[in-house]
Amino acid sequence: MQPILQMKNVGISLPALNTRFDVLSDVSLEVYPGEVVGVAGESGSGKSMTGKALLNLLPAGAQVRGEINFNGVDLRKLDERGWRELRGGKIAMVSQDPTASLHPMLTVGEQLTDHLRTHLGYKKTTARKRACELLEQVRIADPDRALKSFPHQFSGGMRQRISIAIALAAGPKLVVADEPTTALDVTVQAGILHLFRQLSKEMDLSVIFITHDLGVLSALAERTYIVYAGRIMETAPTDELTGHPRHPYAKALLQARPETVDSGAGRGVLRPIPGQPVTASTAPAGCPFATRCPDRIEACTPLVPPLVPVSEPASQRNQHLVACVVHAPAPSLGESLPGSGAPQDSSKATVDSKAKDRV
Amino acid sequence: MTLLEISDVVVEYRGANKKKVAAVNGVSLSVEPGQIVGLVGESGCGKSSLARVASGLIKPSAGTVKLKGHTVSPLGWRRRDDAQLGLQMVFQNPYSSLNPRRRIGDQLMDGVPASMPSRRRRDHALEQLERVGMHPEAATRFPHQFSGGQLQRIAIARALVTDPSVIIADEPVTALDASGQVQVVNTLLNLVKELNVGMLFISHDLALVHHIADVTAVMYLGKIVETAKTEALWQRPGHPYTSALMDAIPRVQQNAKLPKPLKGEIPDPANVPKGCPFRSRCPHAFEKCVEAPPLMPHGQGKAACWLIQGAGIPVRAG
Repeated sequence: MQPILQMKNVGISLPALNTRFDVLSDVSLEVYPGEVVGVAGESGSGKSMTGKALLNLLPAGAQVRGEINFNGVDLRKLDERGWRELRGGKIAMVSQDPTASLHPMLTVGEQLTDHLRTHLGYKKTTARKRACELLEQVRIADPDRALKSFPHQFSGGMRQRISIAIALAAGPKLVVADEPTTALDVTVQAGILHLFRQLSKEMDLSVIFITHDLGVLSALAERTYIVYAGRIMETAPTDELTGHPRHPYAKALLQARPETVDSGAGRGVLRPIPGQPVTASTAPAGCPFATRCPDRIEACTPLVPPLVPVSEPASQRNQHLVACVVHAPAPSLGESLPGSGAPQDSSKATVDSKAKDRV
Repeated sequence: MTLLEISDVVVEYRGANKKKVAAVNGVSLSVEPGQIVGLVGESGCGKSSLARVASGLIKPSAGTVKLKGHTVSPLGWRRRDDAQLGLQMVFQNPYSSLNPRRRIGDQLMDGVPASMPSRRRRDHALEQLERVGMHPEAATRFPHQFSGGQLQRIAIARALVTDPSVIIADEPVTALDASGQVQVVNTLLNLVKELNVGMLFISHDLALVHHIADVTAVMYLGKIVETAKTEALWQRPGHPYTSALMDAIPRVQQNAKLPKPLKGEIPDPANVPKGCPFRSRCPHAFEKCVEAPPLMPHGQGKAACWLIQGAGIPVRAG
């Protein structure tokens, strides 16, 4: 099967006073039709920027490097007209805070039908009928009444369901969900997770689920990418990643969860990740995690460790890749496989560090 | 003597049609020295209102809050009683609870008790910074120079400079990400042991409360529905709401199943169903639930559910 979305070595930089700084250094990821893919990382890791790049919602002046291919279209060559069609049409977004993403002064019906009429050219009455179906699809009781209501008349969970309904309105192929459950209670979150699972099955919808909570991804996402300082640190099918993490950062993230520690008898000690997180622009030369890593060796700098396969993958899709010189298998395996990326040459690394000096 | 005693507290707000809405409806809780009491519940259950009453920020409509036997009265323009100075609060968002335009040191110095001799004051503030694992140099810096986890530790240090006997922490880690949460949780755990202070730890995250609290109280619609030693509560929850909260926690595990959602929505506090407030969402609701259950003994704790009386009705499937 061909991936519906392919990002290859994507980097994003934003302008600052007299210079530019990176918010994303090098991210490659693939999404296949009908699958839920998790992107996990701390704040500042660039996980939200990855999602925004797919909808061209980056801040003004942002520059994107690398390739982004969606459904055979090169997104980097798209003009504003093309983006208008794609955004909300083929790729939709569900954001963290539905209170902010819904218009407070328009009824739910107005916001939903607006979308349907613009993207699909529906007439008023058909749009209304379709809006009702959409609300039913996201399990909102009494959709007729909901259409006439304003966002503030709903609870947080219901509002998030409404913004999901709006995202689904034009029949997108891919939904970028940026921390869609972070602002919700656990009981409500569970409902939204079920909804995403059902929608992805029923409509053959691909979902990129961005979160900092690996527990959420554990049951929902088929594959997970761990992002740190604008780079992919590790990726694998979620069960393999949580069961046999290779990268020290992935291990540290898993150990920082209260419920993993408490699974045994008695109260365990939560282990914080030492040091401060770095961002793509403040990362040192070499492995960005090196400054906080317990397993650091000399080889961690100054070259950025490439993503290499951990084992002979069953398929291109389900391979387990890790960007770590300590925990990756012998290099011969890494080199024999195409597409795993050769070590980045040092000239680029030095250019990067010079750019940092200017900042 | 109990350190902090909250008894039968009611907090009422005036609703849209001038009708009174009870956000907290008769809650009793006590905190002992060196004890962490965890309070969990969904948003809108009244836990933050309770925190505001407990810390003396607002006046309860009924009931009392006592600190070491002295009644806590809300803050006004007058100087607070010395007896009440031992009550400190740590807020949810350190970015807004610390003043961005003042140096950390100055903000800490504000809280140093007036009785302390002037040459000791600065050292006392710096000691608290060290106690939360921050370098004393932090005192010369501004809040924007720190990460969320560090800021929250500074906010804790600020609570500590007054030598408090009780700390009320209202969702202190919710605004932080994984590694920041761990820093703050570890700091709080050490402090309680070291200084023998009592703590009311409010959170919506049951997994976190399980990790940190000695005693857990579960709140629903302004009422405590279950309270017990944390381990006992975790192993044998007495109230279906407690089990529902536990089932909804997403866990990292192999072949994980999606967490179980709780059906329905939290009812409008202005329109609480008669009888057991959880009746409308409870999978085990039966005839008796039209009558409101009181808190009844369940193991070593208490739960407000008729099911525990009947025993033999499985509260938690699987």
